Amino acid sequence: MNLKGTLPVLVLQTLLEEPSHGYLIAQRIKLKSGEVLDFREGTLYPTLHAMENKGLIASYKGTEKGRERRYYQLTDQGKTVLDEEREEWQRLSGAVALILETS
Amino acid sequence: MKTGDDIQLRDEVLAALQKEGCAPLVLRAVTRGISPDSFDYFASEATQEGVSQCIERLKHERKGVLVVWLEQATRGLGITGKRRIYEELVAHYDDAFGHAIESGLTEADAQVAVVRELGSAREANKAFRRACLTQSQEYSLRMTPAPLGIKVVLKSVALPALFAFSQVMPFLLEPQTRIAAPMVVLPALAFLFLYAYIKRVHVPALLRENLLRKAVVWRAAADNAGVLVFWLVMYSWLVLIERVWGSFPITLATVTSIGCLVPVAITTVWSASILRKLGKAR
Repeated sequence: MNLKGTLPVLVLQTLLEEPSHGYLIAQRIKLKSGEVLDFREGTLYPTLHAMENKGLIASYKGTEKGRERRYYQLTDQGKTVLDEEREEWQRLSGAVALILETS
Repeated sequence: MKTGDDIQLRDEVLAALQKEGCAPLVLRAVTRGISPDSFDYFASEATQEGVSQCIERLKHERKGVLVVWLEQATRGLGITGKRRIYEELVAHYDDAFGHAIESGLTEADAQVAVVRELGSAREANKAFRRACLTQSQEYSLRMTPAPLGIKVVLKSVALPALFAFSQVMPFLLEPQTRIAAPMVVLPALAFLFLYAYIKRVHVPALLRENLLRKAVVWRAAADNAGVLVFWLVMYSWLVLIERVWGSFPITLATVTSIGCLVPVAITTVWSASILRKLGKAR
């Protein structure tokens, strides 16, 4: 299923649990959606960079199995945006569900 | 558009790769979503020696397909963004490659499968260009302190002298305004040195501390002020021409003024675009 436009919210939600690097973020999104949500992993990194520029997430270098990785973590601004986006999404999906049920 | 030479080169490279047993990887990369433009990567190593190096890299690093993808995805980006993308994507590739091998794929299939999961390199390049500084933007920001030599002499002595002369001349021509000349020249010279200090010392210091937003703002301010100084110089010479020859070339003055506004506008738009890219993080 195409994730166009919703990837930043999914990234924010994934990072709410703990800081992660790009590959982990991609895998968690796919896993948590039961492999339903799929996206090209090459689009994840520009999204992460743009979100960092906006101050929604912050990055730092860490090591995993002796190898240097760049980890991303949620900022306070990112948490606020996530709350807003979640609320908006629930309103939207509720409205769509209402229409589908009535028709 | 690919020319005949490009196609011939591509065929030669492919033949060389085929001979070395690497062609299937490249062919599969091309046929499964990676743009044929990726062959520019090979084209840049068009000599036989370059092709051999390329083959060696493909064989030894086992990341040939990823390198092709990265070349395309980071084309035109600044070195800072490029380096970071390479680091992240190579680490990503290593993890994904390991999982693909664990799932039973051969090395060749795993390479292609992992890169296919990355998607279109061209689309990624478009997205990266929106998020990262391009080569030209980064080059514009990357200013180093002035080296010793002719440029320093020219900029610290010759240009201020020319500027001072152009400012003082109109006043010297009329006895009643001679006393005002130093009052104009001294602040003008002070401004010139301040301009040089901002560009050559202050902005590089901000860049060293990675304060990119501040560097962009200071750089743009200095550039805009520099253009206005240039306009002032031109205007002074026009006034001088009027005093000497008795005719004021008003059209030329207007054109010069408008001509100076264009670089100011370009600098402002340029800095605004960089600031938008940098976002609110820095």
